[in-house]
Amino acid sequence: MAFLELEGLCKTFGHAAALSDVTLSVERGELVSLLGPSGCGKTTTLRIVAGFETPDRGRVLLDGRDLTGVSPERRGFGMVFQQYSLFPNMTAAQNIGYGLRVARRPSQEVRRRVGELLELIGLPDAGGRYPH
Amino acid sequence: MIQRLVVALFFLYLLLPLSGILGFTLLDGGRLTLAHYRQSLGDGEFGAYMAHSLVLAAGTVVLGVSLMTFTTFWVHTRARALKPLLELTAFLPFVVPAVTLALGLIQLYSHPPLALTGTAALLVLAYTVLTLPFAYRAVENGLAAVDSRTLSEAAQSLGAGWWRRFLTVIVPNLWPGITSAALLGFALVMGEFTLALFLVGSAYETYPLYLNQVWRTDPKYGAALAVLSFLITWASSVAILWASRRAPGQMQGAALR
Ligand SMILES: Nc1ncnc2c1ncn2[C@@H]1O[C@H](COP(=O)(O)OP(=O)(O)OP(=O)(O)O)[C@@H](O)[C@H]1O
Ligand SMILES: [Mg+2]
Repeated sequence: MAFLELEGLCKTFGHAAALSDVTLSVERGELVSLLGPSGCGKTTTLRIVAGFETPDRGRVLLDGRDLTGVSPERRGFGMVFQQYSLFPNMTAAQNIGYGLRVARRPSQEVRRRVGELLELIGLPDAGGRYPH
Repeated sequence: MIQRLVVALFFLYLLLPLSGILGFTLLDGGRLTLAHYRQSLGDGEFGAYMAHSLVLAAGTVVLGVSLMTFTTFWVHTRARALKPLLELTAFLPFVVPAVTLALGLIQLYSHPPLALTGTAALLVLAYTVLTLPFAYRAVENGLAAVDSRTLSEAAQSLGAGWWRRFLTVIVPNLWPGITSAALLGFALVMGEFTLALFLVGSAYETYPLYLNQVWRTDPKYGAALAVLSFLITWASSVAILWASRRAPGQMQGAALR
């Protein structure tokens, strides 16, 4: 069994079917892209995996465990939104470190990791700036 | 040009009554005097009733604004179907006249176990209801302006629970709206007369009630009290604005680390 399994996902919004019978297996460490025209259901699929939508039918399994009924904050999936959605009230560094702070990592580790990531994306001096 | 004229007329409209009352208090028999203001220094009631009004205003703002911020976000994220109901409820205080509200509250709260008539607590609760429309509008506009839903989901995907999202992402981004709701509520309570008269009267006399009473016997001193009320409310508003500018920066990150 694969690491992440989507089994027969169906979702309709009102009358419009967004997903019908989507099945997909993803191995650990595998890189998968969903391609398709606008409105074909890519975002809906990802939102179901992350737990922001409930499918009308079908299941999401992670490592064999059914995620139905597990709230998004407990799933541990990272999600990058189409609109970026940086927190406007936080600096770049605080934005990057938010997940680590939520996970109660020691502040020293948070600072080190945020520094590494700012370095990696080539913005080592922008940590104190706000998104807008 | 037209714009300037409109602005000038607007200020004239606002300032004319104020300058009228200012002149009335500062001039006595053609001579300039501060006597009517000095009178307040030796007046123990002035300080006591001003303190009552400030306590009521602060209590109302804290209770009303936190209640509405919390409820609006809760409905926004957890119970969207209740939104029309919340909207309707939040606007009821606008359409119910103060006298009607006062009489209804007296009916309801004058018998045990809810014998609250005549207490400051009942007045704070009534004022909270009165300020709900402002608080609701401010919070609702703020939620729409920052795409709070996606921000909340982004925080959620990073593991943040409901309260944490509310306090670290939503409240800081709604802060300007929350501040303006607080200012409106504060000013409203500082000048409110009807509910104070009906619900509490002399049991917890507020500044506007005292002002009205003085005005009848000593118009010059009454007018001076009105000017002082304006100045104190204005200064308090500036203080709220100042405090609010400094608050949100410290709030994020540090609060829930
Ligand atoms: N909350 C919603 N309410 C109603 N309809 C929705 C909702 N979310 C998505 N849909 C509909 O479901 C279908 C799939 O939408 P989805 O956003 O998943 O497409 P997408 O593949 O991500 O498109 P795009 O490439 O434009 O981002 C579309 O027809 C869309 O209009
Ligand atoms: Mg999409």
